[in-house]
Amino acid sequence: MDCATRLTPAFACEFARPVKGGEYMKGMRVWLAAIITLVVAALMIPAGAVGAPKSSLVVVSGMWSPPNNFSPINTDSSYGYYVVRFIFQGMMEARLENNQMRFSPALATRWEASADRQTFRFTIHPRATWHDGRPVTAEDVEFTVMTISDPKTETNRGAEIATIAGLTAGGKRVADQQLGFRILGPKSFEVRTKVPVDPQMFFERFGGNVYILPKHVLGSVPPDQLARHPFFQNPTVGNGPFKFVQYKTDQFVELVVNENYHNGAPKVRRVFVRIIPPTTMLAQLERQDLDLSAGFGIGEILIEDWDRVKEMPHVRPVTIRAPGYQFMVFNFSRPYLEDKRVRRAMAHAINRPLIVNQLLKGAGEIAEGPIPPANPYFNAAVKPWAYDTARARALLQEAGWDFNRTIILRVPTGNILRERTGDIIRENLVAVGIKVEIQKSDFPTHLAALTGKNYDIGLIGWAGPTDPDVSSQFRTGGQYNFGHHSIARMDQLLDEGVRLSDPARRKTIYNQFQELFADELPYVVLYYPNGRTVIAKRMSGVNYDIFGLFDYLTYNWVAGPQ
Amino acid sequence: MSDLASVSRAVDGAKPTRPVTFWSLATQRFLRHRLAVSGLLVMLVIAGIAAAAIWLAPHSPTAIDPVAFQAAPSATHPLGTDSVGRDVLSRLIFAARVSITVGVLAVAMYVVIGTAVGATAGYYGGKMDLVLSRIMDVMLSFPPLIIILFAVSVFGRPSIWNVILVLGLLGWPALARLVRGQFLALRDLEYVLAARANGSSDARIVLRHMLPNALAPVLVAATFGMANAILVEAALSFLGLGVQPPTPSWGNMLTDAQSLTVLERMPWLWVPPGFMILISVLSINFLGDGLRDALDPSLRL
Amino acid sequence: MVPIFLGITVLSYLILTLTPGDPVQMLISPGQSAEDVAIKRRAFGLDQPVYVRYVKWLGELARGNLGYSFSTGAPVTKRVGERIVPTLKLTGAALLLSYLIGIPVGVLAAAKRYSAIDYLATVLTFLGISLPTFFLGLVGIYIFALRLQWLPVSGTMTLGGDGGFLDGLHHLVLPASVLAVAGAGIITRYVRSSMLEVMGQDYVRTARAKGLAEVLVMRRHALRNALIPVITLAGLQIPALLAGAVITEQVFEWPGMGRLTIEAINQRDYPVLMGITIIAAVLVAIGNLLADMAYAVADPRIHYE
Repeated sequence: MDCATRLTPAFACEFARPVKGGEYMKGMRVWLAAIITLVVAALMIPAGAVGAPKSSLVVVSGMWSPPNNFSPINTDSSYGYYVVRFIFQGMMEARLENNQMRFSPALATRWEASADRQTFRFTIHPRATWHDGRPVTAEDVEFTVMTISDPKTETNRGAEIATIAGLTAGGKRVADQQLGFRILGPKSFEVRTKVPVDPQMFFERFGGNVYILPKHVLGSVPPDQLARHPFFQNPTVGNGPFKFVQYKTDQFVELVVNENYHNGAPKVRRVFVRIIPPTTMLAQLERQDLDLSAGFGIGEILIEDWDRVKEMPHVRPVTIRAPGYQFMVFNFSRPYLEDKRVRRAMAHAINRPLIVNQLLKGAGEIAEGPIPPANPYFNAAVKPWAYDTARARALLQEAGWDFNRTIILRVPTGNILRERTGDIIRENLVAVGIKVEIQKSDFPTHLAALTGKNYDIGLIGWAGPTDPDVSSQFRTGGQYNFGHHSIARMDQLLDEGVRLSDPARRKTIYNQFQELFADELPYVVLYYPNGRTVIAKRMSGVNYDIFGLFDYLTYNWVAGPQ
Repeated sequence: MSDLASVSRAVDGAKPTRPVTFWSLATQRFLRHRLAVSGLLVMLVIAGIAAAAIWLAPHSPTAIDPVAFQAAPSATHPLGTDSVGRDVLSRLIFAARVSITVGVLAVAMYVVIGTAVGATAGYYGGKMDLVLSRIMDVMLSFPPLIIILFAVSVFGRPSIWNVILVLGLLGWPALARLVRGQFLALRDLEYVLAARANGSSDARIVLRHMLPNALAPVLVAATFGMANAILVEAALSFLGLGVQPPTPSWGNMLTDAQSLTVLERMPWLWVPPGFMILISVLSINFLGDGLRDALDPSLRL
Repeated sequence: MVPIFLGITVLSYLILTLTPGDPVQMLISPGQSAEDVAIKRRAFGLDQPVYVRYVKWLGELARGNLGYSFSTGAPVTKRVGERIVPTLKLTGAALLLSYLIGIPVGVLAAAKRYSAIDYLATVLTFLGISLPTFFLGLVGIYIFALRLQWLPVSGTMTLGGDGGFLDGLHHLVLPASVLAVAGAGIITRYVRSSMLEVMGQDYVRTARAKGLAEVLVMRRHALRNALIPVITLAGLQIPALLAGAVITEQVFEWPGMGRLTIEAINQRDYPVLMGITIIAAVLVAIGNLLADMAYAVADPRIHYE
């Protein structure tokens, strides 16, 4: 402010003096004061006046992302199905508990397999009804199967019914063939498969994963328009223990009890499934605005927040031995990755114990194969390769690895732990002399690169059904064979495993498969992360299983007082 | 004779006065702005640290310490370690490089493009202006996220260039508008008309006569643009679209700390990068503010 | 107008096509059969060449049909439309707040230039524009929702109700304030420098020489003219209103356009992305028109061609 040298015009100098314009400034000051008062007043609205209902009859569950839609046959596999399973059911609920496959009745009261393992009979509960009062009948089941198998229907349930006679390997109807479905009575039906199958597998897939659609509501909709039908945004006619009330976009789904549920009306009257980003889940828990986290992969506690959650007196932290795993896939179309000594070297070079102990804070397991340790088909005799940098270097030299070569490690964004794992892997590989460059991209780009063979090594995750048939991933030409590998003996074993229907014989085959896997290493399986979930202590009767999802036997839930 | 000599000696002996140009006056005015000067000094220090990163950092920014993940500050790690066991201090120092590079290059990119487009539109006017203005409008009404998506996923190479590309693509229309406005005003000034009548080439007129006078607001905008670039990099890191680890940037270091537990219990993870962002953005903003006051047109002689 | 829209749509379509990533792959569940995948691809029209798809889309657009979302199956108009109101609520409230704070503080700072108040205002505004939004949001949640428990953590309403006006307001406070912080900073600086520039003009000197009271000088002459660039700024900010505040929406679980854009990008939901682009372009054009009109009203020197 240079009033002395007159470089600043005179009147500006005058303005600087507080006396002038004092009155006007008073006006401004008043306005400012008014705003501050308003803001403070708004903050003062006590939380209790407009707080969340905390009743013993209301349960709030939290998941990370919004569901796409509520179609029992065509929603995205995780968030959507979590909600769908409250509203729609299949014949039974199939879950793996303590290494054993357990089936609980859902819509069916009885189910049996014939001695030849080709015919399966189901009886629907006499009091099973739709939410609008109409009875659930065998015709509804037939309608569902017909819809899924219609070549014009968009669905992702095709593989679940593919074993039925008259369908292709993808679950679509073949023109002149008879569908292996027969209605025996209003509440009973029978299904015939193409060849004898393992009953456990059949009951898990057809019994547990096929949710029934209401024929009287959707019967007249042309199959190619089904995917866009508004019913799947607003599924008011379901058959499960809870009824759909509303979905506030990106906020929450509201469900209310189905009083007439045939297995007993749930004691919980209202369920909210809330969409909460991982960062704020902790805050909601602390404020006791959340009772359950949805479960593995869709609603977990951040690893940083886990210790704090364990300290909270009103919730019970639950660690799930999860069925999913993260792995590093090799691009077999690159000749320098074809030598299995190179792959073995990398398995030795990556410090998997460090990743599990430090990055996952001990909450994970290491296994050298795609079948989870908690799965009954797991081969405990196959040990993971040890962390051994000397051995890694020796193997690389034996295989004639070119140490001047730089390879590309593709890492998808979106899973923070996986991204950090990528960083660790790079350091580990560099330490044994392999030059690695990391390329990160969002998930769709990453997937496109993998299928387009545009990488050397890449990270990705998987969580499959409990049935050990992993042909789609490891068979030559398999749909999810990201590495594009082709190992003859592996194909043989996998085909055999599908062909056999005797569980004991299958176990032998899959044991051999896992031994082969550890030897050939089409992937390096990095870790099986545990799921970190919570259940509020006021809740009881919450069942969960190997999948760590709490939407199982939901009609058993009981919520006590706050 | 001697009178003349003594007079001329008296005249010759007088102290020569400095020529008073626009720029020297602006510099004087700038130097009086205490905040702006301190802003400039701070940025120079940060730039110095960035340049000397290799010698200043105690560890490699990507080296993993297997026994210390998310460890509190200690003797070996003065600012602790991050979630993958890397030294925070070293990453902080190397991140200065990234943030400054991104800021400078991105701004350079959109200043060059924006000035070129805006000058052309403002100078030629008429149809050229119409077409270019429409293009600018299209770019301005475009949802920026889609452009970001494109820029980020098209490049398979190091993502520092993605961020620079993003900022460049998003920033040039606004600057072009600014330059266009300036040129539209300058076009009708006498000396420009005179130069035209003289037969000077368009390029010469633009470069020699008009651009220097339009430069002041561009300079100010560019300075603020640099501060904005640092913040946008942080925002992009939050969305997973910024500079990716293991390359350290203040933005991705800050987003590493995205849980309330870390906020409360592990301040060494977010305070250092947060502080650096704050300091550099503040400094650049003060610098820009000082520049704007210094280049105030009411001073033009 | 029309050429701009066409330009925007062509550019969008081009960008979406050139970006790697397959929408069908994003919707596959593990264990889904290859045939199901192929059926989906056909249903989305992705088995046809790009220009065919574009022309079809344009044709549908002419009929007012924006198509159906790939990921949800709902009509695009519905999916995008239900986001407009929450977005406007959030960004509108933030804009209002930033002007409510920015204008008085800016005028104050200008009138008391280089005083303590001016410096304080300067520092605060600069602080406001120097901190990343997501960080402010997280800190805001920590202080107000967790420690003090004055405000809810996230969302637009309390579970189970339509909440009502007060409840909505209660949920709006934190996200809007976080957004407004940076805005208020910018407005303050803008108003301050605009006021200073106007105060140095001849007509203000004349008014003062005429002996007019200070208040009148300020209000009638200085303020009105100082606000012109501020209005222009408001006009420039209208497109930003509808881009939504992506970061804030992510942190506070706010169902706005920004969040939808991110979701659609992650799922490569082309119909929704095209829908967002075209709706945003339309609203931006309307917004610019309104800004131009406001400009003309405020400054009689400008006549609208």
